[in-house]
Amino acid sequence: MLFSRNSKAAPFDYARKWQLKLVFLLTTVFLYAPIIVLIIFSFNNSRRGGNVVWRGFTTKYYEKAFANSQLVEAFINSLTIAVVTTILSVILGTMTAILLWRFRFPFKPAVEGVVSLPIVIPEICMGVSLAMFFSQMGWLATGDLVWPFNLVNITVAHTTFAFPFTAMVIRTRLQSFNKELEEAAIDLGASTRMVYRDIILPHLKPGIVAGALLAFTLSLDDFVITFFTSGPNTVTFPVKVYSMVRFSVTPEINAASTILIIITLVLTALAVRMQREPVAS
Amino acid sequence: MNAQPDVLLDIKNLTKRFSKVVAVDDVSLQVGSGEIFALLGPSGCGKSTLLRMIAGLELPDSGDILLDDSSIAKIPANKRPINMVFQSYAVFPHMTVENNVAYGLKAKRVAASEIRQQVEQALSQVHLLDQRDRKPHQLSGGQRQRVALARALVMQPRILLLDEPLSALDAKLRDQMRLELVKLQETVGVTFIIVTHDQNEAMAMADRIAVLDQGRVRQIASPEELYHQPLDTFVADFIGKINLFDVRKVTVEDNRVLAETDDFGVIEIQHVTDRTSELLNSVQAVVWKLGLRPEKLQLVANDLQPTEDTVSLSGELGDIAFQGVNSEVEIRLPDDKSLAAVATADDMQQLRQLQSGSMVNCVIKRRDFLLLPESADS
Amino acid sequence: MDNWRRSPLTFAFFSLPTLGWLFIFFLFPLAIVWQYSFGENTSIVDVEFTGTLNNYARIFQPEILVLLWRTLWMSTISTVICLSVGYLVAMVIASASPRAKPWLLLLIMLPFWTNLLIRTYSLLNILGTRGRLNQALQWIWESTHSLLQLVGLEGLMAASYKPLTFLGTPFGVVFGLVYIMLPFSVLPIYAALERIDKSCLEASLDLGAGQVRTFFKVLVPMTMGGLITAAIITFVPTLGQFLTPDLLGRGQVDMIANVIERQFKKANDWPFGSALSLFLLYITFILLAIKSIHDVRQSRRVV
Repeated sequence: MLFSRNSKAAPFDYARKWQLKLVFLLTTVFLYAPIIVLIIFSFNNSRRGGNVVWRGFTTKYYEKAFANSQLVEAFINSLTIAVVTTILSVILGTMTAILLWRFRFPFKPAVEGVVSLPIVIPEICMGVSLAMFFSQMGWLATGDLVWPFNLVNITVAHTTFAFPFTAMVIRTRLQSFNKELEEAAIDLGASTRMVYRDIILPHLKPGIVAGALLAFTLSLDDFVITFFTSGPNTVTFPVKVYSMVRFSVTPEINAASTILIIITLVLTALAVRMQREPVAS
Repeated sequence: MNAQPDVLLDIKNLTKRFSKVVAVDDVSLQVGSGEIFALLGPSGCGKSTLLRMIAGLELPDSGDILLDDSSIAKIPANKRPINMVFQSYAVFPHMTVENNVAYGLKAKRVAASEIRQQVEQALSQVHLLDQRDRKPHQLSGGQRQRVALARALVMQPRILLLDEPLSALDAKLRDQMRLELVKLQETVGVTFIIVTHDQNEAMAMADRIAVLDQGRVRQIASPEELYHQPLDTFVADFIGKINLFDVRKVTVEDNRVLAETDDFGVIEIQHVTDRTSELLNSVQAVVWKLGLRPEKLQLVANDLQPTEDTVSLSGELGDIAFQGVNSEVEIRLPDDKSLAAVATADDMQQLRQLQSGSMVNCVIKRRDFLLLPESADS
Repeated sequence: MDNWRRSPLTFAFFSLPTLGWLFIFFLFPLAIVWQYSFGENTSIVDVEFTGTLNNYARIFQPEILVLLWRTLWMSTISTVICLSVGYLVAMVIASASPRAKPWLLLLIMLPFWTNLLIRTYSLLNILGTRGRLNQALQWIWESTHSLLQLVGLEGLMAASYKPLTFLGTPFGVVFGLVYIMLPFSVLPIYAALERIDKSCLEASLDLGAGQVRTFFKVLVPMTMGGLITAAIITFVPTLGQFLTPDLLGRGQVDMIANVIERQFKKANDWPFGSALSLFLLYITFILLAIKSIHDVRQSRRVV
């Protein structure tokens, strides 16, 4: 272990230097203060969204947020899209990871590059290209379809940028796979299908869970690509909040944001627990 | 090679290349029913590739593998009646011990009740019945190996392949497991093929050993024969220790094979192997060596006149490595060469009075010399 | 690894859906952008693909160049700040006890998992004229003033604090960019720090180099790979940021992404928007190429 605690060679015990501790502390404050202020002021009994002065505790903006049918609809849309995106990303991501891990084939470096491209290119480029694609294909019109089919193109867009991330996570997991496990299964009479079902997929489970959480968060989080690919009638939570912010800053937005932050916290806690479980058992 | 009365596995001219490297080069061998057969060689000699081809995990480029006189070379690994214990054991980490052992039977769609019974039997064979509900990470290395054994044996294979079965165990457990494996083989009667790089392991367990080097078979024989009648310097050196002396010329006179040496004059060779006579009859240029096992060097205290049957040798006493009953003694010859000798406890009594650097004499029986062709690469 | 020809059906099963998806929904859309970048608007809705390079030429108009320049320097400053602070933060995490490490890492990464829009929005309250930052500065100003009053030097500064404007200024936008990207830049640096051999640092100290010298001559060069990764994954998204300049810049500190957005949402000039998007993409590719050249050199050095 690097920089271990028991080593008395104090010069590199950076964690114990007060200057560095202070930097760490200030960074944490810098990162958390705005969010904490936002959460606190979601309970502020003030009509104005400027949120400057504390005027007493209230939960009425949560009630207002829940009563805002457009906001609720946007929220449900976001969750629906995130769930479907997660499922698609896990399927496509797992398949991509296995494809790149298992096979040797022509133009493989090029394929690997294309797979990792959605991870690295600026979001706005993907947003623009997908917007133009849907408009060319006439798919923007899905906005007129009945729910949930009006969400198809946003979901497609989200899956396109999310599944390479899932593939990356699962591929990392695959690197720790002992090939002898697979050979042992074949040796015992397993077919190709059984090898995947009984040996490889169980090994991938932690990677799949991590990848799924990542895809879910990415989808729920996305604003830019959704902003470009959503029609005027289909709105996700971030897009709705954006238009609300553009219009005016209200405590209602704080309340809605707080709910989303809590969802993120719960998901992160889940992810942390899942990653710890195999160690604990 | 000894003809086996009951040939189970017949490997014919098997060759396997990995891009440009020839891993297995025209290997032919036969394994008898019910024997423990070892594939022995240094790392990279092709023994693992050979084992994997028998299992069906690699496909040979040419040659054939016959099981009971019918070719299995085209049968995929999951259909062959041959099972394997992997080097890493490859116990499925997410399954209990019981499910690991049951896996192959389930794949074969054996009835559930029968699976239960067979799994139970296999687990009791390896003394793991009380661990059946555990997960692999709760087991020790030795226990994991037993799971792998039970998992393979429950399939009632014609042949059980073991890839470096003892290499991952610590020294003490290794000795214990070595005995247990031999006992287990006697009980179940299944033919074992063991891959190992450890000559002691092969000598202790196997009925017969194939020594491999650079993808080729050097010699196939029983442990005793390998030790006492190695076919060339490589085998002699790989199986135990050997002292080698240069040979100037080998001549054949009236069916007597005579080796001319600088050290001992002319030595008549008693045990002439088939390969030696074959080489002597051929026109091939061969570099010959005289080989002598360390225990054939008898240390004597005072000058002993060589008799008709013996030659003698003297040198400085070098390092002594105490090894329990016997000790290994280094003897430095005047020409800077050093020999290995074995000193018994009695010898040690006398040697103790001597200091390092003092002269000692050795007596060698003429019939103990081995005539060995030098292998091309060693 | 198997050759795909050995099991073509399995290969097809894994490759067709995944590569098909990427082709249809990723490469093909990019091809459309590429095609549009050589087009001309013939009417409000129609575009003719004439192969003109005019759209690319328009990138070099003065008003766009100003924007490009601003995007570049604001991204550079944000990246430099992220890397400097991120390095120190990563050092603290890497040298913490094994038990504390994952928690400290989580503490820094957690905000990154929070919705980007919400995080940007939360800064409005901080950076406003009557926001928290101004309140804090005012408090500091007034405390200093009363301190000075005690020693009779109050004349040095005005008694009342005049709130600073952050929103709609480059400072506000850079503040926002750093806020968003900082957690991201910590991760690769931390990974690089975890990998290095501590004995090199000890050797450096042993040979008489001081702490500062060791830091710049040993620690930083040894973690250069992580630093470059961090720089790229911070710089590239920053270049294409739309939300931060939009919300915190109040339309007065536009970056390149805002111009792209305008071509699609307002000006309806898709060909020019396409050319700008591709321009951004090309910059990304150049940066990635630099990184891979560095990686190749690095791996050669090891060999």
